[in-house]
Amino acid sequence: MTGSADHAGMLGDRRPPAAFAARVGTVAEWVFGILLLAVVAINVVNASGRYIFSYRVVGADELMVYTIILVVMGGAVLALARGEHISVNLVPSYARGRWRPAVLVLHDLTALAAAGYTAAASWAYVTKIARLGTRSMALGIPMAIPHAAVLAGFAGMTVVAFVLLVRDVRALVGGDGGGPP
Amino acid sequence: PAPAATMKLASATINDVQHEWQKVFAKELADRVGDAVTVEIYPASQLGPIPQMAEGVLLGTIEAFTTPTSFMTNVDPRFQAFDVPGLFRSPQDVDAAIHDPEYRDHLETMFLDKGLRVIGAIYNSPTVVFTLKPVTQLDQFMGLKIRTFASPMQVKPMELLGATPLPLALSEVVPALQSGGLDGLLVGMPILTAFKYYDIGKNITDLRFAEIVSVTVVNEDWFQAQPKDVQDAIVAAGRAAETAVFPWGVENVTRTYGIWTDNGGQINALSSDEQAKMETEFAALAAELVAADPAVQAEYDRLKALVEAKGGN
Amino acid sequence: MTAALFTLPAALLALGTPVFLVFLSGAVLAIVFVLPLPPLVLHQVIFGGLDNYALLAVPFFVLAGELIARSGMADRLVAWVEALTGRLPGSLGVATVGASAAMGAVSGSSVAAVAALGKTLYPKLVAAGYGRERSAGLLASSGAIDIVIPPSIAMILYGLVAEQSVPRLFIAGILPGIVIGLLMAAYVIAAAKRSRVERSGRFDGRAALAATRAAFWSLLMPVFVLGGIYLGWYSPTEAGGFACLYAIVVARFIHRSMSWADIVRSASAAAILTAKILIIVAAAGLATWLLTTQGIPQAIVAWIQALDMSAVGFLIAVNVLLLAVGCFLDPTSAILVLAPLLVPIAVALDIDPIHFGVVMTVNLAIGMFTPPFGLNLFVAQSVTGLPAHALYRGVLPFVAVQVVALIIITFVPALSTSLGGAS
Ligand code: NA
Ligand code: NA
Repeated sequence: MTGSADHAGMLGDRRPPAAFAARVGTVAEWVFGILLLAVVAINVVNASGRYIFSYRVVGADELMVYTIILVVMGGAVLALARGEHISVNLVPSYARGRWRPAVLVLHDLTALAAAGYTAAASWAYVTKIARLGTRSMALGIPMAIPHAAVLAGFAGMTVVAFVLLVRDVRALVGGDGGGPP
Repeated sequence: PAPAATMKLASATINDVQHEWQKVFAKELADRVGDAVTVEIYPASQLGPIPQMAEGVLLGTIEAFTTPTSFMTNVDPRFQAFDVPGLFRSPQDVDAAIHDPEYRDHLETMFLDKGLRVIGAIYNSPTVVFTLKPVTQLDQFMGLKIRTFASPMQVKPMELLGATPLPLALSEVVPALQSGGLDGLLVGMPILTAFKYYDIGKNITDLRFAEIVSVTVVNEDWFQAQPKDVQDAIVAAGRAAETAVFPWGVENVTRTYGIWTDNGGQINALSSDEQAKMETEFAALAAELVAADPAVQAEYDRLKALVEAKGGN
Repeated sequence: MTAALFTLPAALLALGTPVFLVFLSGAVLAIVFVLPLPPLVLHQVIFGGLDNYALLAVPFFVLAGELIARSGMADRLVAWVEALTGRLPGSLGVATVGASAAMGAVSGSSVAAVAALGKTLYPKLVAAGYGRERSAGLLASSGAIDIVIPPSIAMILYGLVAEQSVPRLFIAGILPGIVIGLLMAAYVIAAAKRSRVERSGRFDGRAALAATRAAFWSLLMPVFVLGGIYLGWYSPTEAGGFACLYAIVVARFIHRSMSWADIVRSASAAAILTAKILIIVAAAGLATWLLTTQGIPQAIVAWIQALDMSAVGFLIAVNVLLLAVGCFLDPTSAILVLAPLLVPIAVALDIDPIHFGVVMTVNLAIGMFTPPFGLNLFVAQSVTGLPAHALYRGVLPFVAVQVVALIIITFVPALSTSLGGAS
């Protein structure tokens, strides 16, 4: 796996917006890492408290699961921006030559359509749940909040897919075989 | 003719009274409207975990959902009223309340503001305490780690007895019992025999403080999209299934007690003095719990009056 | 149009579209053009798939793997294995299988084990001369042991839908898990002999002692994690968090091999890998939901039932069906959907439902690394960076080995029932 510093370096010598995006990505990555460590800490405190003091942290399970949902959706946006998502590369030869930008454009269009449609559905879902006012069982927080993480994730992926599409269409038209390696 | 509607009818369990009601309902409905509505039954959480099914029926991705009331309390707190400790102590108490004709009409429409219509209300089973070590006296609950739902109706009674209520995820329960990380759980009696809990521990304590009520809720937007005759048929089929399934449910519970003892399980009870002491304490707790929400209080008072009118409690 | 639902995602997959987008775009197409379902289903199933306590095992064990790999604890373990068994062919490969079995006894999640061990062991296996393809194949396939050896989320769910005792299912999984492990180890040794994997010289008692001392805290980790579970300190899912805590304490305060910044860096990497894995799990849930509500599994099972087979014929048919299903669905969804349909037929044919549960679990465990689809494959690919076709070549021998194990487990019910697992 490529570390964050490498990404910053890779994108850093590009246009200023790309460098800025890379920096945002690096910060986001740190935030997700710290959130994950926080979940580990809640887990340890919760289990130890229960075993040693028969004390339970109310809603620890919910807090951990909802935080991980946020990390997953945020991480998925970041991985899309970096072209890092897990894929089954059955036609590896496409990676070279002039077909590469065309295939990237296809990926971007798929991401834009699928994430965009899902984001719209997600918006409808979250507004409905907010109106109904359901709350989580243990913490009693409005369920619209954890659901909003999924909406934010797909909205973010839609924006990222659009930016990637513009970049890759330019590369396709310009014929420079563009995009980062 | 209008295209046939599909009713996806989901639940978390299988081969229990909820599943039985669903099957009878499907047949009763087919007898009334033929193939105008196709009822598809999805038991055993096939359409997702419980919170997902509950939200599914709220938003209309699943047309109907059969569930213990305790899993709907985050949708509407009034669902808590059925789980107040001490309210129901026998199947007859449940029957007297939820199948009272006037109350049943009220129950059908009381959650319409949430977009849900109750088309089925059935007696499920008693809530018992499964423990690894035998518990026959109240003070033996002290310090036991007991798995409950995250609902105050389960958490508070266990705290009152001096136990530590732990809302563990279902997937963690068996490993935790086996390793001693958990001493027991509050559970519906048929669940214990269905999952052969007698292989893990032999004891239940029958506190007779709560009976589980299950409801089937249907998405009201979907319901309103059906022709009038189909709507009437759904309501009628639901009530016919309730009547048909009530004795099945009572007998099923009796059968599970038999299966429990046949497999070496022990059914413990408190002495009558201790039972009376617990009931007094739970009555005070119940008053405190329902007072937290006027809507719950009103619903509880109504149910309580019906139980007492029929000679229960 | 319905044909497009299958061909379009397949084409996208082959062209290297991210796997979660393949599932998502297939579901979007189905909802927009074919099925009368509200689009809200998309959000509901994705959120519902992630809103699952048991999935916490994934970030926990992925982070534990990152920490072990980056702190050098893994290097110490590998040096220890080599110092003790360096002269034997295939020792590191066998250690990989053993580590998977140990992970299996800790967690109920196969994919977390592949991620954790892959990070740690893949570079070592390659350095020891196992070859990239075989190393990745070994890692992807070893994870299967985890869901057969207790505790196992798949078996808990089978118990739930088939109404079987979970403790008996757990006991029933022990010998079959060992059979899979032994066959894997035998294959690894045979293959290592044939390809003359590098051996690290003569046994040296003093070096072995030094390696043991250096690896002391690494060796104690499984003892701590497993011991905590079996003493009731924490649940199998929570154990993942304690594995992280243990690794952090050792790396930061005992070996002093990581700074706090290194630890956060590990957590960031683990968070991103977790996201890449769980977004696939969530999107794949859409396929399961759509297939289930379209009655497709029900139709296939009805077809098998109509063939009116003997018990042996039925078991063979089930094995073929489940290996195919395992190519597309993850074991937990497959069990929830298929067990209620298949178990009554099995019981009617006098097949022990506990034995049948083990057969289903082993099948679906294998399905997690059979090409083209399988979560373990995806994770192995992400961790190793190998292209799919190379990874496919690498897992094929292990698919063969585990299918042999499956045949033994299917037709020797005593393996599942003799320890007290009979229903
Ligand atoms: Na396991
Ligand atoms: Na597969």
